[in-house]
Amino acid sequence: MSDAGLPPRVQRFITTHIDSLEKLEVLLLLWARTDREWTASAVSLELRITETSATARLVDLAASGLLVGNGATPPAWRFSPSHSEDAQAVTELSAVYGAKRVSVITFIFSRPLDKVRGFAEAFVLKKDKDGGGHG
Amino acid sequence: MINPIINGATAMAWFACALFFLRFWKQSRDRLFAFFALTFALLAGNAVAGALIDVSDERRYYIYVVRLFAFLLILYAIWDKNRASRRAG
Repeated sequence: MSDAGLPPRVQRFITTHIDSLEKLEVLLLLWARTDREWTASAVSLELRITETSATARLVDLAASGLLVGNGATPPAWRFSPSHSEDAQAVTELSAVYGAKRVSVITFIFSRPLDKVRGFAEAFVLKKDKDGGGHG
Repeated sequence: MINPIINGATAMAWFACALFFLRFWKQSRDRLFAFFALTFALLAGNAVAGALIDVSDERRYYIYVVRLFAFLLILYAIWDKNRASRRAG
């Protein structure tokens, strides 16, 4: 496992919540701009990613308890972690990402929990049954 | 004589499984692993009880109730995992 000199809290946060660079960018965007709610299209315009992908990341982050949706159509999300420790971790992650970008990216791609997650996912009997079309 | 030894070895094996799943749970925070750890801890306790309770003791039947509960817990964990996945996306 490559820890790349990242603080333990940041490492723990990444292994728990972040599985792609895109998700990290979406999270940091919403963290930096809490003054407004973000729709998937706004995020896709800001980060120059596809809207489908942006929706998938936003829904994932909301399921992790980091964002809250407003339930409107189209839905919009705001950074509002359910645990205060997550808020501190994201602040720390943002600082580390600015200072040690390569280390953070390397850590995300080293995916130390891939096998554990893969094992857990093996128990999901039907994926994307509700037709979310993302994953 | 051999039965308590086998029961002890079985308990240790279940307990080792429980510890593995406990570690997976600490790493991933996935509830599935917490349920699995609990299940294997129950089965470990079950094996210990099997070694300690006399064969003629009627309370021995409770061992099977606990074992049934442990297996039901595995089913619940899988159901819970699927429910969580659907909710997530």
